[in-house]
Amino acid sequence: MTPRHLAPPNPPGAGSGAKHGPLPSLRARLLLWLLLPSFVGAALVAAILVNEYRQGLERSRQGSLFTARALAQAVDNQLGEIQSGLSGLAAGGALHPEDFAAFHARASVFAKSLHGMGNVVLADTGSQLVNTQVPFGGELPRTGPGSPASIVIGSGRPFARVVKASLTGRWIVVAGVPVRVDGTVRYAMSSGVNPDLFQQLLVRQQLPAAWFAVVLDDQQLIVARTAEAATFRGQPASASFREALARGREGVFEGVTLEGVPVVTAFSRSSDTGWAVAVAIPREELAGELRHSLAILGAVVLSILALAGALAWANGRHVARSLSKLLALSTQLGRGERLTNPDLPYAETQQLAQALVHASETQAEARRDIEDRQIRLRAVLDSAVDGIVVADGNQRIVEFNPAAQRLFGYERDEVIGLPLEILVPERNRPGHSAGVARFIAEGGAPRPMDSTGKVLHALRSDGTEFPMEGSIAAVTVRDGQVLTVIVRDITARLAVQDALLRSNEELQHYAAVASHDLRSPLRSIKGFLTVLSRSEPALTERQRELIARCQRAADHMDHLTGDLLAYARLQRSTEPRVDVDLGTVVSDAIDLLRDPIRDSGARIDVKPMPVVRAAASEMVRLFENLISNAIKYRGSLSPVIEVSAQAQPDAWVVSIRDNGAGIAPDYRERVFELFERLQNEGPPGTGVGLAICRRIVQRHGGRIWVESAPGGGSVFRFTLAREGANHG
Amino acid sequence: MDEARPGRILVVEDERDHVELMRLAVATAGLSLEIDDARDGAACLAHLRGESTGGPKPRPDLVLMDVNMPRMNGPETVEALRADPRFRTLVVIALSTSADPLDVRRMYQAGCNAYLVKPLDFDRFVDMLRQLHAFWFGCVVIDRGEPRRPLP
Repeated sequence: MTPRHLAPPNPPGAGSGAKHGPLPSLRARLLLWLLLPSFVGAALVAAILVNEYRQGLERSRQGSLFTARALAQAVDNQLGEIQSGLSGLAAGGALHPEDFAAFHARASVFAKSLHGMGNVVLADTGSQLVNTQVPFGGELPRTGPGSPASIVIGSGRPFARVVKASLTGRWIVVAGVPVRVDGTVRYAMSSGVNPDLFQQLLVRQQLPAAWFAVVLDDQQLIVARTAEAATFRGQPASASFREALARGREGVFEGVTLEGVPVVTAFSRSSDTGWAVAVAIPREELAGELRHSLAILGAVVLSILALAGALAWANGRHVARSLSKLLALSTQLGRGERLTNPDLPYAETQQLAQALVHASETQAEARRDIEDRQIRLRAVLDSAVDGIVVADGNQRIVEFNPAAQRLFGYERDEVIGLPLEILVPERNRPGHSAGVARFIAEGGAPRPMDSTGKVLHALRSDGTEFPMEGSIAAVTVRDGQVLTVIVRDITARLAVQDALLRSNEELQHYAAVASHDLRSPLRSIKGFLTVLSRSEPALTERQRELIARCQRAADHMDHLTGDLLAYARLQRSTEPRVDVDLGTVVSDAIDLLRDPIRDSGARIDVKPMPVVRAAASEMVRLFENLISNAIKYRGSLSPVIEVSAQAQPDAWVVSIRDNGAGIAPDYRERVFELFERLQNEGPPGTGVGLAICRRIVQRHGGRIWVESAPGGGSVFRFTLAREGANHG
Repeated sequence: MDEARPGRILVVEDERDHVELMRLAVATAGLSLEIDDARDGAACLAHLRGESTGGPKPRPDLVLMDVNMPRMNGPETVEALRADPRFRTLVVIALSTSADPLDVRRMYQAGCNAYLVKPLDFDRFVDMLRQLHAFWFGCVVIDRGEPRRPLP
């Protein structure tokens, strides 16, 4: 009988789980739940990083473009400064060949103020005319058609370009301006500038070491470069750069440095001088940052995942272990074992475990209780003297106690499950089962089985029968009805009853015969006394008195035997119970007591009396005896007797009140005993009258008692079943 | 009615005192009755059949019979008498102190002609005997059997 909630849970893979394949383990699910958001988070962070990278890239581009522009401006300024210096020098005085010596001196001063190479050259299209590095009047080189002087004079515009110095063979920057004489360009004045000047411009920017910055002249030859300046000075810029320059004045492009490094390059070209500056960031570096960030992110995410996974796994294992412990506990609980509190790592599991332990304690308590009850019940069943047969709602035997086994001659195991009917003699079986079913349907309140008054019989296993009495009760339990039948073998009792009945009859017969036989000699005594009292010659007074006393004694004895006879016969009486008007009964009784009433002057007041179901002559005798008693035991006053009846729910209480001597409390029970008399002296009485009264009342199912009447005297009261009440 | 001849009754009674009382009462009543007695039913039968000691006795006009007696009680005796053709018409009157209806019934069923309850009071008993005598010997004609012929 395992209650549903105590059934052990399905083992994994069994029951409902089997229909849908194995269920995911808690740990796997936990891990999944943990990893899914981690992956999403990592993806989000990666997206942010890439975006950041893009923005960084853009910022780098913009930054480098800005830097390139600033550098281009600085280069322009540098060149402008030199060129305006030269222009100023030229404007110092009209340059005529006769003034060249003075110019030489002036230019030498100026040259010293110049950075770098520090020489100033004045030349025309044919040759140099003044060179501050050469003392005035010294041999000066000629100027070819491609020389800067020729270009300046040819174009009439300022000039700045990297040039291989003819004297030293080094790459220098030559800046030149046209010198006008009388509005005509006659000369070109130029100055060599150390390319390091531009190199320093780049260096001052303190660009990251991996970055490249380069200054190009208007011929797109390299003037300065942050890396390998010496190698690449005078070399043309990379092809990608030149293409970009061809496309516009400034911009950003992806190209390759001369060393072959892929870079992102920002450039700006001066519109005045045509010089350009480029700032190149190796793509390696840009991507490297991102990769670095991503790598760190990846590492962080991975380590988080690993940590979380490990934690989840470990905790999952913990949880799973806790759950499996709880599962074990539940299973134990299901088996009804007593649980001890296990150590579980989580508050909830611990609480659950405690709840289970508590449940097990409660369960154990309840089971002990049930066991105790069962033991008690078993003890009752086993020790009961009466046979106890328990059946279910289908009237199948479910319990058969040892007394029942002895009574019916069946072993318990033989009858369990058999219909109740097997215990009923064949002749009584028809309708038996239907009767029991009706009894159940009517509520099954306990009642004796032999309510009809007939002696029931039960059937033993060997086919013999025994007379029985018993009770039957049905109670409704959860799954139907339980019928309890208690059976008692009344063979012995019936025998005793029979014997008692017989002995009672014999006794009554004996009493009748005895009183008859007692009467016979009495009659003789009385007769002879009568004859004696009339004997001649006349008796003396004393003799008469003695004879009179003998006669009184004989009369008393006569009454005694008469009453005894009446008392004995009462039990044998088969007088039918009929509707008796107690009013008539009382008048009859008063009629019988005519003489004593007249003699005593008694007044009898009869209140309205009910009709009862009773034996008429017994009722007459009852009232006769009680009224007679009231008269007999009167006090000094003449008797006043009141006969009345009060209705109670199921009985009449009849009262006979007198104003007599009353009865002491000690005697109120004893007066109803046979041969009990209040007085030895005084009024004659047999001591049987009230015993007869009690017997009559008892035979009618009532009781009789005596009380003190207020104001002296006694009230005899007795009860009689009311008309219509169940005492028929 | 034969005035000269006194009535003769047989009292069947186990109590000797009662027989004596009967005689006293008859004397007190001043009745002319001859009284024989038998102590029980068997003696009664012997008496009537002439088998008792002392030879055959005269046939009584009526029998007063007690109910409860030793050896052979009232009903048995009456039945025995009624079974004998000679005594089928003999007047048998039950006389008992018992007023038990059972006794009354038994005696009538056995074939009694009447049932009397002995009064306890002597004077009333005397009265009753007077009335009994007046009725049975004054009013009633009884069958006396075969007169004067001695029984075999």
